[in-house]
Amino acid sequence: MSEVGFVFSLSRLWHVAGGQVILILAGLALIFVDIWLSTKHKANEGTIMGWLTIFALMATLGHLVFREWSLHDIVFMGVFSAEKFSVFVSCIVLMAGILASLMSIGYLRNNGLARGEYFILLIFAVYGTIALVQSVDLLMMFIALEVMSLAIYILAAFLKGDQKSQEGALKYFLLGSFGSAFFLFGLALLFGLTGSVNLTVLAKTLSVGIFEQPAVLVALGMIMAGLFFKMALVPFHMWTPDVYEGSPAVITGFMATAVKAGAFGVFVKLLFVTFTPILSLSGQPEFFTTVNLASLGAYWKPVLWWLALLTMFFGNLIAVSQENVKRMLAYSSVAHAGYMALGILAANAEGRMGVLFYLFSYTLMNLGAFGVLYILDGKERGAQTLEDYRGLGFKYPTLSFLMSLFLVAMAGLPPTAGFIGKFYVFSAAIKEGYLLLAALGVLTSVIGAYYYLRVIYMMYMKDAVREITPGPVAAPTVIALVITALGIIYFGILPEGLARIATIAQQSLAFVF
Amino acid sequence: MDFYFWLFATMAVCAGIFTIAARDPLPSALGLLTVFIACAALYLHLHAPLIAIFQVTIYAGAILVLVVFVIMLLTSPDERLSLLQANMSYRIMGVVLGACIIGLLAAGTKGLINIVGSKALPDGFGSPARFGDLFYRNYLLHFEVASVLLLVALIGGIYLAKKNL
Repeated sequence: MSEVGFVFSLSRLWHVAGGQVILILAGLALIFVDIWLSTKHKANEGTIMGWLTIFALMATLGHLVFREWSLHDIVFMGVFSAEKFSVFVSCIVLMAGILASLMSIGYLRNNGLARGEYFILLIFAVYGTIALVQSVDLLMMFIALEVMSLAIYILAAFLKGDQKSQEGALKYFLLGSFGSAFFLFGLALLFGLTGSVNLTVLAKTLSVGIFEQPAVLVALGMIMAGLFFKMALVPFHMWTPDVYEGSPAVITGFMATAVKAGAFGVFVKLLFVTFTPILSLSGQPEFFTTVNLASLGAYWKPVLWWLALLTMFFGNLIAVSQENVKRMLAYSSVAHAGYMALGILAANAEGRMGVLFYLFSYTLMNLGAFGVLYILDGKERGAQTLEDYRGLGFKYPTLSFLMSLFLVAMAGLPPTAGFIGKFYVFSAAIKEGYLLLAALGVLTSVIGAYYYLRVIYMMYMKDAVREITPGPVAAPTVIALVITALGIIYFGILPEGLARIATIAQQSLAFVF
Repeated sequence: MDFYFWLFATMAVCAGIFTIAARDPLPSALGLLTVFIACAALYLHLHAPLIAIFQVTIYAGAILVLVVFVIMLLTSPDERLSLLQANMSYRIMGVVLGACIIGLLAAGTKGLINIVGSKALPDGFGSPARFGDLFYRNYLLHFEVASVLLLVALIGGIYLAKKNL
């Protein structure tokens, strides 16, 4: 049990949160490596740092996956948990981190910005996201959320001479702090009501009767608002377009995938462990009373219903009128958040599995699209408008084909993983009786198909109006693009394996104690 | 009547009024310092010695030094502040916002009293030893991760602020 687990032991720390330890040590070591590199090997600084980062992230991934087989502890000091759900989401985050680092090597070279700080911040951003996903303690969630956000704010502002990057980062920082403050207020209310910040203890204490107090609803609302901000659900999405357009392209891809995965993962964990009766399924007698928590669903479900609808509609409708492809992808990522919210709303096993599958496949296609985008761009903001994409299909056939593949996947057409993800989420929602919402959701994805396919139309059916100069294609980026493209097609044709792992992962939520 | 409380409460309120009424920014900052110290004394009175120590070291020490630095660097000796004070709409807005905050605080205090009521404090409440025990036992990991947060902020601050790295 979590209360008695407050004994510090290094071996248990290594078992449960070993991935985080590796990341912190790697981040600290890279600071010194970078100092050495910048005096001795200035020319290759970006490349060497990039590969070292990839190595560290791979080691973390290996540790997490390997530990899952020989796991005998789940919760460490009532703060971190390593059940399969957290590990699954952590793997998505690490995958996004690895792909982003691979692409960053080429991106930084194209922009003449090969600086070691970039990769150090990227490692700490991944660290913060994993700590966020693994925590089962509201206070630790807040601190990890801040580690993640702070690293991302700085990465968003990484193009120092660029006004849009600076503007976007400042907006993100101000609005992000506001969102975090909401989360913190919710946390304080819950702590004041129950005297604990641990998710399972909270569930137990709330279910005894406190959950009927209006203050609990206020706290839940505030925590949800704080997380919705990171997930970019409408009406908390205002920062998204400016930040996504301003940030370095690869960082935008990382933000849209890893940060979203982290926020969704922690929201699912928080919502289902503390505010729904999932723990009553665990077989532990002390959690039997948590069945009561089902009555809270009457409050959060309508809210999520409307938010999912608004997010799907606004994201897709506004994306239609965008001329800048990067900005269009920003609105599309808002729309995708809406589909994932649908899976959470369904609140059944298949819905949670759908969300996990969706996050996984979305990470592949979104990072792939941003990878192609930065190459076509040449230098940041070189060629991002729809006009620039005219007639690219015949001049750069491979890049155009890859872009088309990623866009088709985002539009949710078979035989890509994007289709399967949408299928799982919608079918889960229909099973729970949200027929109207699912129908409207399918309608919005038709709107989505219009603006995704318009880019493909521009590339293949129109003649070029101006010459664009794509940057050189770096070898690591090729690796990343091949992985993402193959992944999208593989999981589009054979989704059962991943779906089975995701199903087991979401079941493990009932055993976080 | 609690002599100790009234002494420092009066001191805090008077210094607060002086802070907003002063014509020059620097005496105003000194007024703020007095508010912080008076508050620290009140915390001590409320059996929260650790909060009092933090109040003196962090607010009266670090933050006030920062405020004074900013005043020294940014404001020219006379004009600016008085210019703002002369603006009528600022004054009206200040009165309205101030009244709102007083109202909120009063309502909050009322709510707090309703929830908490009057309870006897647990043994060793607020002592630095008890705090340290909790902090380095139950909240050890939070403390460590917070240090990572500061490290990230440090790296980012240096990268963003320095012109030629």
